Amino acid sequence: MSEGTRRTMVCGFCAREFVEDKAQTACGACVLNGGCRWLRCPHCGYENPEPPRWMHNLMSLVQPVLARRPHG
Amino acid sequence: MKLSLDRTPSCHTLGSPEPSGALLRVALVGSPNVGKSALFNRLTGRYVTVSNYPGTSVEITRGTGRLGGCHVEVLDTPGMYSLTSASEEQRVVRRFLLDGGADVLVQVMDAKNVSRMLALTLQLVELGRPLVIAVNMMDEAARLGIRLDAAGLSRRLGVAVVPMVAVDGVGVEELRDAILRASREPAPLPPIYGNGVGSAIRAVRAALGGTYAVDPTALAALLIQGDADALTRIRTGERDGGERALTVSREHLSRFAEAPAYRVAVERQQAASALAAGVVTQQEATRLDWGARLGRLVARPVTGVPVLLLVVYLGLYQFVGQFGGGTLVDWLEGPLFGERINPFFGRLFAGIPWEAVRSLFVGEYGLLTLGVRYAVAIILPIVGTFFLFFSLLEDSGYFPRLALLVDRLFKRLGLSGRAVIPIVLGFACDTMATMVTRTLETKRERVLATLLLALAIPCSAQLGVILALMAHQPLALGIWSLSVLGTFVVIGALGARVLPGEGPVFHMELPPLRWPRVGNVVTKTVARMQWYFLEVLPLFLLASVFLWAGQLTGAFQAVANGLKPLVGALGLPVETARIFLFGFFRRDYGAAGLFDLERQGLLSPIQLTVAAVTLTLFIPCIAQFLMMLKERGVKTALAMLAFITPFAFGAGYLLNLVLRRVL
Repeated sequence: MSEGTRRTMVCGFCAREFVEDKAQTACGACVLNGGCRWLRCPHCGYENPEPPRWMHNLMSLVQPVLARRPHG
Repeated sequence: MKLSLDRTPSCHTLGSPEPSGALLRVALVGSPNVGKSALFNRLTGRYVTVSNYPGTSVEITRGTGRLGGCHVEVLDTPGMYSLTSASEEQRVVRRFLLDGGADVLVQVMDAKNVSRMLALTLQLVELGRPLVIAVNMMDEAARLGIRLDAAGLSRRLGVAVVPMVAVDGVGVEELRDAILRASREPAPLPPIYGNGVGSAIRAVRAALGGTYAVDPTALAALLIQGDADALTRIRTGERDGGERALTVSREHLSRFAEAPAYRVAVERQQAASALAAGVVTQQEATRLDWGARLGRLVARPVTGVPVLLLVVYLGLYQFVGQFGGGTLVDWLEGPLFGERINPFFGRLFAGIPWEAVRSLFVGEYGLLTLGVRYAVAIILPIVGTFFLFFSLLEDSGYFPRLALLVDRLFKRLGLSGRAVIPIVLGFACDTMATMVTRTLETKRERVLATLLLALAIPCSAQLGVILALMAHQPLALGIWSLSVLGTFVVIGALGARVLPGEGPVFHMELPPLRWPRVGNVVTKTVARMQWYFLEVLPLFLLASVFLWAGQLTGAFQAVANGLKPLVGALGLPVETARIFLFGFFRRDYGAAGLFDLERQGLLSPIQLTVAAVTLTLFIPCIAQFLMMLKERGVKTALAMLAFITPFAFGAGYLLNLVLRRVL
């Protein structure tokens, strides 16, 4: 049984959510598997840029402030 | 993952809201695409654990969070429509539910389709486990004129019903409270079925005396539908091997005119529809919201094409070309690199007595004065503005509509709207896009898309530099656009005729058009810029070293001299020979060289147009060619190369002849 901690993300093309692990499964045939900075959506095949960890940490601080703003 | 029943007591069973360290297990269940994962993220965090359900390849995602004072484990299960569904994923969820694998079930449903989803609710209620209904996407339902009486639904079902918009976090706190309250008591069982099915279930239920993880009513209902898993559980759970229950079941089923499974499903759906009719009202949608209206406009050819042209004009021409390639590059090239950084490096390396070594760093092809300057002063501002524009479009949900818009045109080129994905990605990086062509359905489509990417889709930096070069020469830009677009259409159409195979079919569920979110756009832009810069800078430096070594040994000049007749035939100055050499290392490196040449005033408008068209159509960069070899095989990749190289120079030659006669 495989097990690991992964992030989830929303595909930029089809807007469906997936777990990084699933993206890596979809990327299995690629020689760069695990070594590139792109995550392939298992639903539509779109390549999503992998947010850098430092960016994620920064956004988790900023996003609560942005989330309080009204949006459509 | 261990999913057993003998766990330490959770904090709700201790009757105390204080942290106990024990885990309350909450499972999110529901149909596919109702926002379970969005809610899961809200309840836990972005970091989750993925593991296979024991004995299967089905993945269960789990994370931890806190509700009140309790630690909770939240499980995001695969989408399911019914407890009697047949797919492996849905059987696994059903097994998990019948095992009593969760302390609290949260059914996530789409507020736009409450009636359809209540049938699963009724099955979940039969389990007799604590249950909460999270009605998600209330905002989308409201825009469609759908109103839900959540309190009324809660009264009728006897469970908490929480309206919410999970992506925005609306209703999440109320859901947390409802989960904690529900964990203290199981859901009551409201009457669902008519006399026939209802009495059969009640009779079988009464015949069951074993101990089960869920209310035996659920097993009784499944048994009369002929469910094999329920039968196994009953045979194992009953002292008499379930004989009494089976006899009762057969007696009742013999009175049914239709297949029992069908009868149960029909009655359950009728009950669900009756429930929905009492709590859901559909108002006449007086107007579509801006997203739906704009979404329709951009996907229809009559309005979608002008919108596309407007997007290209404002986004690519004005923002990337004029602002990124003009304003930003001017500042970085002139005041920053021209007046400060390069002179500083010049002074820094002036002490090196050996000209050959010094020129490696600060010469014509120096690592710092050429490699770093190209990467930072020319390419970075252009790809930065391009990626910002690209991320804005991406986050707005425009790309799927673009796929729909071009689907008809693409079909004539042997492609489908799905090919928009690699084509759009090609404008970011052709190498990556070539790899993505493997997601296309047919071999024919994959070959055609690979060829068109190599031939007529400029990558982000190349496109940006060309737009920046031609931003002040609209005629040249128009000719370049028509040449490249014309090549794309003509070669695609010819390729579709030459290559055998069926035309592809394209279906796609369109996500809603939405305002781009600042956080998403910034994150995606920065992620792409970081990727690009980390990849491009070492290669630019390496290319500078190659060029420096070539110049030192005379090999560079020999190759450039060999190319002179070719560039001469295109009507280009001899200096452009090195541009094509640059372009072989990387497309954007070649484009940056062209940018440099134009700034030195060495190119007339005709020469600029011819050079830009030839360079765009010219051989893909090394990385893309290697990817073509890997994805399409040696034979196909070499055949494409053999076609593209003479085609690019032939097109440049013809264009030069035509422009010199006409202009």
